[in-house]
Amino acid sequence: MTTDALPATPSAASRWILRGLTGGIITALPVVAIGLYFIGFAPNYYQHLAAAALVNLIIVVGLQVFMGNSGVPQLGHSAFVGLGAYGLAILATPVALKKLSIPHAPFGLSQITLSPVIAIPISFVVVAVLALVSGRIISRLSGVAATIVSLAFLVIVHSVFLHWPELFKGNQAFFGIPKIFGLPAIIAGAVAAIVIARLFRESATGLQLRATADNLQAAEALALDSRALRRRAWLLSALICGAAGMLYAGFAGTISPKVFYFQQVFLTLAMLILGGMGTVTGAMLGTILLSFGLEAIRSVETGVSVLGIQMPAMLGLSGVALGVVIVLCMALRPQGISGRYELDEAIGALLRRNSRMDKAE
Amino acid sequence: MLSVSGIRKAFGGVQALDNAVLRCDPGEIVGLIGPNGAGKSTLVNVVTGVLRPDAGTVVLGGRDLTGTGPGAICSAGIARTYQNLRVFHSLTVMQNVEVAHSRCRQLTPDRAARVSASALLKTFGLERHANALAGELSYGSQRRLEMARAMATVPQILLLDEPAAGLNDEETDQLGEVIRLVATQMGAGIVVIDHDLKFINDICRHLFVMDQGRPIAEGTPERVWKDPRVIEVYVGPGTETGTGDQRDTVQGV
Ligand SMILES: Nc1ncnc2c1ncn2[C@@H]1O[C@H](COP(=O)(O)OP(=O)(O)O)[C@@H](O)[C@H]1O
Ligand SMILES: [Mg+2]
Repeated sequence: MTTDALPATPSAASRWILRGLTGGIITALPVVAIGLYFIGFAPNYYQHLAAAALVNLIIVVGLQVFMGNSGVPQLGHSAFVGLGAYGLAILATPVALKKLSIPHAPFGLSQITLSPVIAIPISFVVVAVLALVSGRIISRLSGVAATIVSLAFLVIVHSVFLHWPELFKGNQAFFGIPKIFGLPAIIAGAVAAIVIARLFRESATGLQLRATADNLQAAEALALDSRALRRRAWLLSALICGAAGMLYAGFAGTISPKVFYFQQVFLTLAMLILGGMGTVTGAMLGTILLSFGLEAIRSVETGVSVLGIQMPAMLGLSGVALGVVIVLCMALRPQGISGRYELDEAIGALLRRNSRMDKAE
Repeated sequence: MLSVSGIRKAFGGVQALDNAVLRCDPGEIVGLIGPNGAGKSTLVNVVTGVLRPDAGTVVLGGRDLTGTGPGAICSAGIARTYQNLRVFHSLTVMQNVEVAHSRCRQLTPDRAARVSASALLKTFGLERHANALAGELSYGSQRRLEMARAMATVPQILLLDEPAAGLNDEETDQLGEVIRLVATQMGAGIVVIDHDLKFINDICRHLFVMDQGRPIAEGTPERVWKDPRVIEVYVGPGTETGTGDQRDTVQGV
C-alpha cells in the first residue's frame, strides 16, 4: 500500500492538467466545427452573426468561471466586457480618427496610437485592476447581496462610459477602432476561453471553489478560504470577459455603452442557465442553442410567409422568448441541460456503464 | 493530545453544555455517549471551531485553540465528520478526498503516501467508486467517504459524530475494523459518538458519558457501565422501567 501509492502526488498534479486539456478540447470541438462551417460556406451577413455569437460564448464562459464554480450569482460581468472593448478602442484607434471622436481625451490619450500588441496587454491590466478592487467586495458576499453589488458595479461602470464623453464619447458610437480581428481569431479566442475555463475547473483552486459552493461549512472546516478562492475566480472571469470585449471591438470597429448593458447581461445569463452553469459544457451548449434559436425567432419576428401565407410581424418575440427560457429552466431544470457532467465526463460515464453491463452479462 | 475542559455553551435559555470535558491521546479510541440532546454534537462543534464556547478551553498538544476558526483548527490537526452528512455531492469521490489534501501541511513522503487519495480510498473501501459523484453513493459509503476526507487532512485527532447511524450490523463491524486501522496505522486519536453501545464497547478503551450538557461519568467501559448515574440515564430510575434490550446491552459489557 505504501510503495504503490508513493508517486501519487506528482501524477495527481499532471492528471488535472490532462483532464482539463482533453475536456476543454472536446468541449471546443463543436464550436470549431460550426465556426469553420460559417467561414467556409456562409454568406458575409451570417459570418457577422457567428462572430457575435462566439463573442457571447466567450462572455458566457467567463460568467461560468465565477458563477458556476463559486455558486454565487452575479450580474456585473458586462462591465468587464465594456472595459476591455473601450480599453482597446481608446488605445489602438488611430490619432487621426481620435481627433474627430475624442479630441479632448485626458492623459494625452488623443495624441497616441498604440499597436494592438501593446494596447491589448494594457487593457487586460485595466480590467485586472478593476477586478481586483471589485473582487475584494464581491468575495465577502453571497446570495442576494452579491447579486445586488455586482449589479451596482455594472451600473457604475456604465454611468462612467456615458458621463465621461471626453474619454468614452458618451452614448454615441465610438468608431474607427482598427478591425484587427476576423472570424478565425474569434474562434481561436472561444477555444482558448473554453480550454482555460475547463483547466480552471479542474485545478486545485477550481476544485476547492466548487467544494465551497457545494457545502460551505464542510469546506471551511477543511481550511479552505472561500474568499481567496472567489477572488481568484472573479479575476479570471473578468479577464475572459475583457478579452471578449476586445475581440468584439476589434471585429466590429464600432462600440457604444449600451452594447455592454442589461440586454447583454440577460442574454448571456439565459444562455448559461439554459446550458447549465455548473459546467463549461453548459456554457457552450446554451450559447449555441440560444443563438440559433433566437436567430430563428428573429426571422419570424419581422413577419415571414409560410406556405404563401404572410404571418404578422411579432416584434419583441425574442425578448419574450429569452424570459421564457430563464423561467422554464429555473422551474423545470435549474441545473440546465448539461447538469453536473461535462461532455467528456458524460461520455466516460456512459462507457463505464456499458463496460460494467458487458461484464455483468 | 486533545484536552477539552470546562466548556459551557448556551443557546438562548438552553444550557447545551455545562462544564463538558473530553480528552483523547494519539492512537487512542475514546467514546462520547449520552442520550439525544445531551450536547455531544454541540461539543464537537465547539472543539472544531464551528461554535465559540461561552467558557472553557480546547487545547491540542499544549496549544490553546479556543475561539479560533474551523480552518485554523483543521490546520492545527483536528478533523471531523458530521451527524448529518456533508460530503461534496457534485464532486467525485476522489475529488472529495483531494480537495481536503490540497491545504495540508508538509509531510514526509512516507506519510504523504499513506494519506494519498488513492490509498485513503482503498483503506475506506471506496476505490471502486473513485470516479462516481459523491452524491450518488449509498448512505454507508458517504459516511466512509467523510472519514476518508477527514483523514486526508492528516489529523492528530478525528471526531466521528454517529458514524454507525443508518448502517446494518455487517457494515458496523467493518466500520469498527476501519476505525481501529486508522488509530493504529495512522496514529490518529479518535473520538466516536454513537448510540450503538455494542459498537462503542467493542472499539473504545475509554468512555465519556454526558447528560444534559454535563459530564456524568468517565472511564473504561467496565467501570462506566457500573456507575449508578449512567444506569439511571440509560435504563431509567429503577431497573424495572428499562426495556429488556437496554438492560442486555448494559449488562452485556
Ligand atoms: N444551533 C442550535 N440552536 C439552538 N439550540 C441548539 C442548537 N444546537 C443544539 N441545540 C440544543 O442543544 C442541545 C444539545 O444538542 P446536541 O448537541 O445536538 O445533542 P446530541 O448531539 O447529544 O444529541 C439540545 O437541547 C439542542 O436542542
Ligand atoms: Mg448529535
